[in-house]
Amino acid sequence: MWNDRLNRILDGEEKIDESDENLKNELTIYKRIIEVYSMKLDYRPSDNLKDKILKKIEKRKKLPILIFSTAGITALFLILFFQFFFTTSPNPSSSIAGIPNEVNLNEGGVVPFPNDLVEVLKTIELVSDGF
Amino acid sequence: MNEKQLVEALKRGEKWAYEKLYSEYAPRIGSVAKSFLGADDVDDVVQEVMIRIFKGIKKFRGDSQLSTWIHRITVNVCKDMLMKYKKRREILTDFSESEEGPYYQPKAHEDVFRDTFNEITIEKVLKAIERLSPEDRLLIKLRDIDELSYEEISKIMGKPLGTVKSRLHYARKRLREILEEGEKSVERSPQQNTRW
Repeated sequence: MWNDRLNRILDGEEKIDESDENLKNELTIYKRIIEVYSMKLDYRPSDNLKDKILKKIEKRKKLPILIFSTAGITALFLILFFQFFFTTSPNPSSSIAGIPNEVNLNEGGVVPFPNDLVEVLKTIELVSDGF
Repeated sequence: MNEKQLVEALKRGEKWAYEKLYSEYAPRIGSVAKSFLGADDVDDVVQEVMIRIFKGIKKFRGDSQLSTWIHRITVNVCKDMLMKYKKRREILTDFSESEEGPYYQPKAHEDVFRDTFNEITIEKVLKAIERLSPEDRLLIKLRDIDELSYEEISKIMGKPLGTVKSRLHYARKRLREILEEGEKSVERSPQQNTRW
């Protein structure tokens, strides 16, 4: 029968009593079980698996570089895109009318007259003088 | 080459270090996985453990031995795999209920070196071990085959030392009981008569 003594012997806490045949038999049986189990658990990894794992690790090593470079390129493209379409493009409506882009409507709500337009009006006034 | 140098090289991601790690630890990882999962094909576990080592090696401070840390990762991967198997089995069980009959998987070829007597004996032992829980199988493996200390096993399993010790004592006893049950049933059967 299995008992605490056997556990202590297996754990190296107690020496086996050579006269106890039952105990000796039990110990022999258990050692045989462990021997068989040890054979069953034998594992020899293959070279193919080794190559597969090393390749995966290599890929993962390069992953942060790939992520950072992709993110960097994307950010660069976005900056260029916004700069090109939103900051450098002129306002066509204001340039045609000759009205400056920055008009402060808060100052009495009066839009200042452009100088060249004043000149044109003066010329018209001179030409039309006497009619 | 000591363990510290190996760890430093692993942290730097050097290829030779991973090659050394594989040749040194893959057999142990596979063996632990075989005992915990009770399966022969454990390549996926070995691969996953190696990847987790790569991911986590920078956090390894060296408080415990490298082997203890790797064993712990292996146990965690095995537990995750077991959970996946259970879920898959539940799905498969639901699926098979609608089928006409059960599916029997053909038996793998036996190793040639086994003679008839040993074959029966080995089969008996393996069947008895299969009936133990994954953790009990692992305890027997770590203590009685790998001869690790209780402290190391306690760290690997993430359980108190006393629990590990009493659990292992129970597992040994249970294994012997299962085998005794098997012997009794064999004695009752007139066709088979196998002894140790």
